[in-house]
Amino acid sequence: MASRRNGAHRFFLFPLSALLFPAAALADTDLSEASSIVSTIITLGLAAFGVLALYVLFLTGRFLLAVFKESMQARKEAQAHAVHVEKEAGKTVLSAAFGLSALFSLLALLILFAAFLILTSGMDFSFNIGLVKFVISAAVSGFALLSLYMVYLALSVLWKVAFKPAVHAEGEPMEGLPGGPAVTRRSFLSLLGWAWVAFTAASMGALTTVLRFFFPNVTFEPPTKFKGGLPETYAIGVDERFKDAYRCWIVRNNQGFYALSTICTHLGCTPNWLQAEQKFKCPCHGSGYYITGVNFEGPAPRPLPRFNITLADDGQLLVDESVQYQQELGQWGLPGSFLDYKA
Amino acid sequence: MHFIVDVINSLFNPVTYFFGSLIGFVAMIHYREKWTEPQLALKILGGVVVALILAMFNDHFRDISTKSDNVPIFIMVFGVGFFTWLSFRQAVVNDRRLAQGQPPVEKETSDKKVYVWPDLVYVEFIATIVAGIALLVWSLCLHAPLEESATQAWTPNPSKAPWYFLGLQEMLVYYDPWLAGVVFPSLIVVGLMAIPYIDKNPKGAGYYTFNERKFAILPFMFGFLVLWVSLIFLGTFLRGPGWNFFGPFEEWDLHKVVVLNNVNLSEYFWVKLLGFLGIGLPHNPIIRELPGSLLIGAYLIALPPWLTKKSAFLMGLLERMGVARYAVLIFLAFSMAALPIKMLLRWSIHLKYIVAIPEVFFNI
Amino acid sequence: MLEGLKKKIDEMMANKPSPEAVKNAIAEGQIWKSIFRHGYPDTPRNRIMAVLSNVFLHLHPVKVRHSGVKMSYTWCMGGLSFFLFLNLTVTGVLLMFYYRPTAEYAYYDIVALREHVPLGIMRELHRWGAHAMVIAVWLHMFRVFMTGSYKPPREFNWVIGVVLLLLTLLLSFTGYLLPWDQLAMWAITVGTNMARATPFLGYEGPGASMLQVGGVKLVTGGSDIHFALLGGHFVSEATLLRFYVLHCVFIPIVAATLMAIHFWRVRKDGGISGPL
Repeated sequence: MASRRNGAHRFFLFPLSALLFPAAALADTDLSEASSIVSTIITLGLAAFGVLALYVLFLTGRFLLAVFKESMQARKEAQAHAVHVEKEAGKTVLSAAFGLSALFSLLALLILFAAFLILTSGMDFSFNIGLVKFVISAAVSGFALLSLYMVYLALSVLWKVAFKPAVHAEGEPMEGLPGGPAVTRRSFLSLLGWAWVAFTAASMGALTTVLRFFFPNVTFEPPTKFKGGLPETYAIGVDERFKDAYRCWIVRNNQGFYALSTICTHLGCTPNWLQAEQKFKCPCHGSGYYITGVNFEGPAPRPLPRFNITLADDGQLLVDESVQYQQELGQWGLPGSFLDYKA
Repeated sequence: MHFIVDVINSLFNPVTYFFGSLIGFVAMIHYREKWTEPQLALKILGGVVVALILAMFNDHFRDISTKSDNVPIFIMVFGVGFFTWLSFRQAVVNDRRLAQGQPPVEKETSDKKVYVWPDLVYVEFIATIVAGIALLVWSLCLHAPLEESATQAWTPNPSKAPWYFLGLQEMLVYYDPWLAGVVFPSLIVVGLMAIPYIDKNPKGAGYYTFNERKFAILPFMFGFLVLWVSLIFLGTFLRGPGWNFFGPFEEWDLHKVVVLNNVNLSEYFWVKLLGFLGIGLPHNPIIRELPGSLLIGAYLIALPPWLTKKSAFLMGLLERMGVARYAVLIFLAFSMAALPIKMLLRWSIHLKYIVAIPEVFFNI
Repeated sequence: MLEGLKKKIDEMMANKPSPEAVKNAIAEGQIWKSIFRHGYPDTPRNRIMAVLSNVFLHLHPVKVRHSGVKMSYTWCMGGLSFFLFLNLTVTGVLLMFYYRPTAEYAYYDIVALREHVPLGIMRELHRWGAHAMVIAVWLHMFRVFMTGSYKPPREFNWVIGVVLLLLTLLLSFTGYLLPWDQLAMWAITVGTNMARATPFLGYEGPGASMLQVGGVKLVTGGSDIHFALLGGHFVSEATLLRFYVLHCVFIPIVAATLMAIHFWRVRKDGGISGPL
């Protein structure tokens, strides 16, 4: 029959509330650098899959509700007019609906749990923790309750309709709720196809959680900050004393000091300093750099980056490799990229 | 003797090597009727073996060839050579039969069925035994390589990828890592997967033939032999310290100086071509790289339709294949051709990048 | 008593059973039958049963095209690729008994495998087997291409084959790091550094610097695909462990699964290809 609208638009609130996840993810972005992008991408992806899964869940639930109400109506009529009760009708569809609904409920729970894990595990707990945690917890509880409600709905419909049969003729479309869009058996079955798509997508989405696992919050690598001894101990030219331990050359010229990365910008080999030819030459693909770090030959796409170099309180050089200056971005003029020092 | 060695060395450089392998490929296809005759093929094999034995007298060549990790390359090269012969031999024989209206050789026995046990199982069994013994002998004779313990402090010179990736490493000379290391390998994989969906020619399924499916075999063989196997050979034997090019009998001199000063297209355009205007390189990277971007755009977007319109052959192809298949085919073909084109540009005008925006790591 | 026994033995020696009779006694006996479920495969019925009732052989159909068992047609390269894979699995598991994937021990365990462990060619069998497998897989693909065997209905199996080719190369590449020598270190450094240049996903890839939120870079040296691969900013002990697990567990399982599908599809798509 003609479809009528009811308050279905309210249900869109549920998918919308899934947007909380990206919001939470963005709040997560200035965490330890390893976690930010991944948790953002994963969570965005999860949220999208979650929306899809929840929407199908919602459709399923609406259908079940329709069947439920219809069956109640039919039962009333059957009792009133003593009509013969048709036992088999709708049973198959209902069992499918029940299974699916349960599946999606569990899945939604799983996804939410996964998203919760991601967001909390990568979290810097000094940052805005109260709000983010509250939002997540609220969302998780909300979705969990919804899922449980769906399970209850499915169970009750199955109980009331399949085991306490209702009346309606074989093949006749089951009409929707008064005030709701019609859901026929056929349209429900085609919905099943989409449900499988959503199920697969959601499962895949949930599996991407594993990606986060590959970004540890702590790595056991050498510290990026080190003291380089007193400036007087350096002669004019390239000094290789920290090449092994910190992958860094400290170069002194008439004006002062700068610290160059020893990682070739082409593919990460370690170039050699050739004193006679006054250049850094990479053995892997032949890239050459001037003593300034600027590339002039071979496949290197850009100059070697410089590290932050300052004088520590005790008069020693202090190199911070976590701060890099790239020539092609015009950063070699910034303070910290060069240490003025005249003997 | 020294004179010959010097001549051979001087004959080798990337340009002659590439064109040599290209000419070799064309000759191989063109004269397939001749060299697939077992008599001539044996003579060629004999010649190659004799040349190899002679080459082994050269200390440097022997050192590289007998490096244990390079031994598989000989097996691979001879294997590919032999099986190229075997397949072309059968293709030539079948093509002759097909030309006379006879069915291919395989047809004679394909309708007869044999029991898997013992006919197939025993073939597999014997092949396994032979391969097992060969592997055992190989392992007994040759130690797996082991250099000194790993350290980040210094890089051995030259540093090479595993041999099966040397074709990719050679591409790195001409293209930036994001293309040579990521995009092109992905395109190779996707391109290989696309083959059955692009090649809609129903002929030539289940038997060796060349004439019936030329346009499938030619690009595949070009990619496999010229752009893959021969570049692996080049990467192993002709690339030395500093990734410089050396002749096969040339000592690997650590201090060989090769001028590698390559120039970007933007510099050619703004400084050399428009130098008289005195504007120099524009600061804005988008304006600076406009000529290069337009060129790339023209190559990938404008050139294919234009060529298709001009060529009756391509037009026929388009009609037979449909737009989607044809577009994929052309895109893959143009991507494959991008490597030789960049090689030529590098050799002829020392071009470094067509588009160079190092600010966002975008170099082509 | 003894006399009787001697006489009995003499009698037995006098009418010795023929080899045929011995074979029949074994191949028709209860134990044989219980294991193989059929007699010796020299009759058509038993040959069919040999293939049908054996879990390993039932990969094959009962009968194949005569043209398809010829070495000049198949080169046997697919079968050899599988054989080499099995060889690599066995030798690989044996190597795992001695090898510890840590920066401290890895190199010396490899030395020990050559110098102190009995049958010191286990590593050679593994390494050369791996090289041989790469070659065999290429040649297999070459053969399939040259015979046009990817044409319908075998398109999808070709696609699976391409994935298997890729996995073979990845297996070989991840294994390359495990000896933890200079060769390994720098081949992997160069190889994995290309991941840094992956568009959008690598921090030195085109487009990565555009992915920012409020001035915070999303793709950095600590959050890109290169980091995920290495477990750090450069090739280190974490990388060794990652590659070890990928090499010994993850990729082999994926490859074995796809191989099963690949072989199954060979049969489902009509067995070995041949002219119509």
